[in-house]
Amino acid sequence: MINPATEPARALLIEVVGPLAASTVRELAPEADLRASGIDSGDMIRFVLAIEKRYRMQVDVDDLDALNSIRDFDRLIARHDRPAADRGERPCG
Amino acid sequence: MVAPLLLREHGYTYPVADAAGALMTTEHIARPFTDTWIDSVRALVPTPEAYRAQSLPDQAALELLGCDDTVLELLIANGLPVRQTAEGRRFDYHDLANVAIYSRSGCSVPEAGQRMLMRYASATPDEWLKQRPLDLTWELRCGDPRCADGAWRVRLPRPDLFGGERGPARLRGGARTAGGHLVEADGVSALTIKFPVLLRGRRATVQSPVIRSVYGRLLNDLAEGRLRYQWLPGALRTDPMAAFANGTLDCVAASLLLARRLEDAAVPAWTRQGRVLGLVNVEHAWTEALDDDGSWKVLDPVFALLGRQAADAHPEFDGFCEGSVPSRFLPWDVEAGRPVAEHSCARGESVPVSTLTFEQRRAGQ
Repeated sequence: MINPATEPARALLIEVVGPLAASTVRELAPEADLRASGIDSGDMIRFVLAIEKRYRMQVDVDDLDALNSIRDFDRLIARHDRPAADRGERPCG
Repeated sequence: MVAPLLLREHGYTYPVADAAGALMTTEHIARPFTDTWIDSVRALVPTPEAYRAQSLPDQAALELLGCDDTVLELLIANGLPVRQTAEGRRFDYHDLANVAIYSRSGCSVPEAGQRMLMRYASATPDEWLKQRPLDLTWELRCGDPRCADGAWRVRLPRPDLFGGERGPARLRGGARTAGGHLVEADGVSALTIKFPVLLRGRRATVQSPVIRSVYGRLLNDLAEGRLRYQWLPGALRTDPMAAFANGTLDCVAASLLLARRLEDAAVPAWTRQGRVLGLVNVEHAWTEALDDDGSWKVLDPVFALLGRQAADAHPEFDGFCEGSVPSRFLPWDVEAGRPVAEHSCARGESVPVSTLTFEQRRAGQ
């Protein structure tokens, strides 16, 4: 089983690709290039959409360029998965 | 009244973005969600029958559109072309994609992909021109899985055309270089070519009033809806007059039509194809015209249009598309719509399946 707390990107990618490709994603090395590992562009788009929805963020253009592996996506999530105030956003009122 | 849509939660207020990152307004909740789908399907210019390939079943349509059965039924009721077969309903890929890109649903793969592709338009001009050292891996295979061997003729990209560089290619699959920019191979069904590149952009302004006028007219036709930007099947996109007669253009058809109009106005022009590198790494085509200052300028009406459609494009992006080229473009010395790689085998001649991936090269590598 994948633990979403420790491997959030892998857990979300399994949701995106569905049961048929889940075993491929489970076996991916954290640093493996996702596109070279058979994740097609449609799945990559769905994956980024899913991350943006779940973590309520927009992946900026520099981040998009650097997202190749499960590890890259985990780092991205770790950077954003904090309360809004920690990210310098202004609280209401 | 249109105002930013705000979400209040846990003592904080967030502006709400749709799934593709565009900030939403109260207008988005004033209209039922399904209205944008209906608007999109009613504005669709269906793929002409001679070019139509209705082969996708319901499940594939639902996955592409990112919607549920209710929305799909609504689209059919409002004119989405569908063919009834003994195995069930079948849809044309381009009809679905073209409904999706205008749906404003934020959930469909074509719409999200297009927005991610254009996200760079919201960055600063410095980012558009930033040098990009990349390691590219280009995998090519015959489209027929039964192919055991065959001949290959592959043109390598030419980043030098825009001031960039391409390092030596590392070849697998028995391939050999045949001249500086060509790779050939015999007796194999697949090839892998790896090479480093340094991509550079180029900023330039069009001087010629004739070029500006011809370019501006095509862009305005697209922006004001006299021509509709849609994804087109291969045979239609490479026949710009047929695409024009249908009232639709994509990047290939637009580049060919623009080159033809420029030549009619006595301006030397041609088209070029390349790829735009990013998370979504796609084929693209543009026009190049000989300007009054003696240099060739890049004209990209389709990206200018997509920049105008993006919620947050930089104000200089529109002008940038008229003369300049971003460092995300990987150019080939090949005209729009022509193959960059050819394969022939016992199964016949074919355009191979091509996958290009890249990694940013770190300093010191």
